[in-house]
Amino acid sequence: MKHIYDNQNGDQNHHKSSEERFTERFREVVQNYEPVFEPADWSAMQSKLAAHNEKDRKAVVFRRLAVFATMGAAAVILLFGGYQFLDNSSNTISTQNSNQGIAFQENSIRNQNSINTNSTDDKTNTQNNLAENLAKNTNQNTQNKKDTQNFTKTKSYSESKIEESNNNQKNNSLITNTENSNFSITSSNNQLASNSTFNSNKQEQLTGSLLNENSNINSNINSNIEEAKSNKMLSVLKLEKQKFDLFADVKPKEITLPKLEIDETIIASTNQNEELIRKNPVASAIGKWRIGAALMAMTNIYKSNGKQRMNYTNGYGVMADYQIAKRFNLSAGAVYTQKRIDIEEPLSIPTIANGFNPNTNDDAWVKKNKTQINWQLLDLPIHLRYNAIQTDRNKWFVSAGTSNYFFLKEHYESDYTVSTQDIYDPRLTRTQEVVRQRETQSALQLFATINVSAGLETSLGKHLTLQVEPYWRFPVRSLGSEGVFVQTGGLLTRINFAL
Amino acid sequence: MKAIELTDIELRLIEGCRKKHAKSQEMLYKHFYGYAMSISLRYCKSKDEASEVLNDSFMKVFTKVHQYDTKKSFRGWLRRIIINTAIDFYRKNEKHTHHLDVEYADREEDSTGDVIDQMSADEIYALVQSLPNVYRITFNLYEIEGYSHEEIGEQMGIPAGTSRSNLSRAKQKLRLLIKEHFGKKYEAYIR
Repeated sequence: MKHIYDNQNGDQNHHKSSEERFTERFREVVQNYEPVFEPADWSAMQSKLAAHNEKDRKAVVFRRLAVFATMGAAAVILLFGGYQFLDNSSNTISTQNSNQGIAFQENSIRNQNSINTNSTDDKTNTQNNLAENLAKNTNQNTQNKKDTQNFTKTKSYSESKIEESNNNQKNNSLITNTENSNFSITSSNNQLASNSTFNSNKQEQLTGSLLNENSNINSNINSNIEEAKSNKMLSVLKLEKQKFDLFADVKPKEITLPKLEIDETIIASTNQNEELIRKNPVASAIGKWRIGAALMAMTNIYKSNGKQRMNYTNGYGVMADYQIAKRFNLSAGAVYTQKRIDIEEPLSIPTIANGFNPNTNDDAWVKKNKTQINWQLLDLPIHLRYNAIQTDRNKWFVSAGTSNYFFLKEHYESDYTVSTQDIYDPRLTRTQEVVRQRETQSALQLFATINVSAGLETSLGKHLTLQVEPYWRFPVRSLGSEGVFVQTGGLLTRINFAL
Repeated sequence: MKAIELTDIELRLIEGCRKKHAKSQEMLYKHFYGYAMSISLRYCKSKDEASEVLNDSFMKVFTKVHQYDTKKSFRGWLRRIIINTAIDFYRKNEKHTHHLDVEYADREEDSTGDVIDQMSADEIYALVQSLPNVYRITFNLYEIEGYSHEEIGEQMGIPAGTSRSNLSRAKQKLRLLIKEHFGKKYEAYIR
């Protein structure tokens, strides 16, 4: 810039070359030259802008999708994480229960084993008894054999009977041994012994009387056999009864044992619960307060010129919960947010144009092209929350309520196209672009929306909880002084402090 | 150069452009069209190219308006954008610079001074536009914007010596063009 007007003075003008003089003239022209506006250039610019906006819009849509996807992924991760927490908690409980069951079964098995051992002992005892009895029987048989030998020496005809008797007795003893019937064997042996004594003492009696006696003996032996058989049945029954009695003794023990354990668990868990309620901020306790900082990422959805539009915004504020019942919370708060809404209104409205231009006559059309709305408001929600699933660390809940909107500031900027006829020459129509702005302050709209949400609250420590809550707000009424129906959906994240 | 302060309406238009307000963009475009087009025409060889450069420049203005510091001259900022866009435009379209043959005109005292004084703005612009691209840009940057050859070389990606050479050739070409123009005028005058 230092050189532009160097060495320039009037005296030297005559010695300047043509290009130098041209340069000076060019500088003069540049200072004042301004071409007139050409609408074609603006049309080209509009096309350029439209293409750029379209590209921008796609980028915004992509960004929104990315945000939605991220939010969705976060929600899925949270839900999955919560489910895992929940699943692990229930697994722990079931594992504890199954361990108790296993312990119970082990006890039962031990008892059963002891029962079996007892019964085995009983069997051993029985077998021992049987062995002793068998030995006695053997001795008795030997005695019987000796008696029989003596008897053979004196009466040969009775020998065969005695042998028969011995055989029967042997058979009896075999049966008895097999059937473990001591009683029958003893009785038969006694009988045989008596028979043998009887035979030896009556050696000199008549053959007929002996035959009768022998027949009596036979009948006695037969009756003894029958008796032995019935005794065998009796012993089997006794054994079964013994077994049954043993189980009957064991069963009440099996029932009472876990009962005692459960009672202890209940007592322990009651104490633990009191401790948990005291320590765990998620645990439900009637009268409990939770105060939290809330951050809301939201999408506003509204209609403009028949088309659905949406934009993003954030909100932040404070919320508080009060536990009114075991599963119910009452929640309220105040969240500050800004909503920006662009409404296109392409309809022309015949209006007196004097308001826009005092130099026009009454025959004017005012076209309201677009209104840009900017609200600054406090969202004052009141919700009732139902804690559907509660674990020691997590709560899954659904919530419903309403929002009251306190408008801190309403700003409206509208673009109008005013078409007017020239006041002197009605054949001429002039158009004028007018931008109008207006603001309103402090308005309260009660029950503006119906709110529904669902979410998860999880414990972060002794006093802190994290609450993630996707929500939707349906408009009950049109909002603001322009009357716009705005739906809002998004994700509420809260950090709560349990008092 | 003293920065021209923005008027209230210009500030509002810029604020509107920052909010991507279409009407503000349109009004800003129309408001600065003449100023911007006069710059663009100096750097371009035709009206069509000037319009293209102008629109590209305004697109940059609309997309980068949030970077503009309202304490500084908006016109200066806009001019800088237009010049850069024009340089980029020709740099993009001309992959390499041709050494142009310039028919040397005699450096002599001539009697074209009165004719030059009587030339209209459009005629003067037409003469400048008829210069080859590199010469025209160098001539404008040096003679009108007041940049040094070092600065021009930096902007155009050429050595300062080349810039000097380009300016010299631009002036020689202009002398020739003026002579041609004077000849036509003179012929028209004597008839």
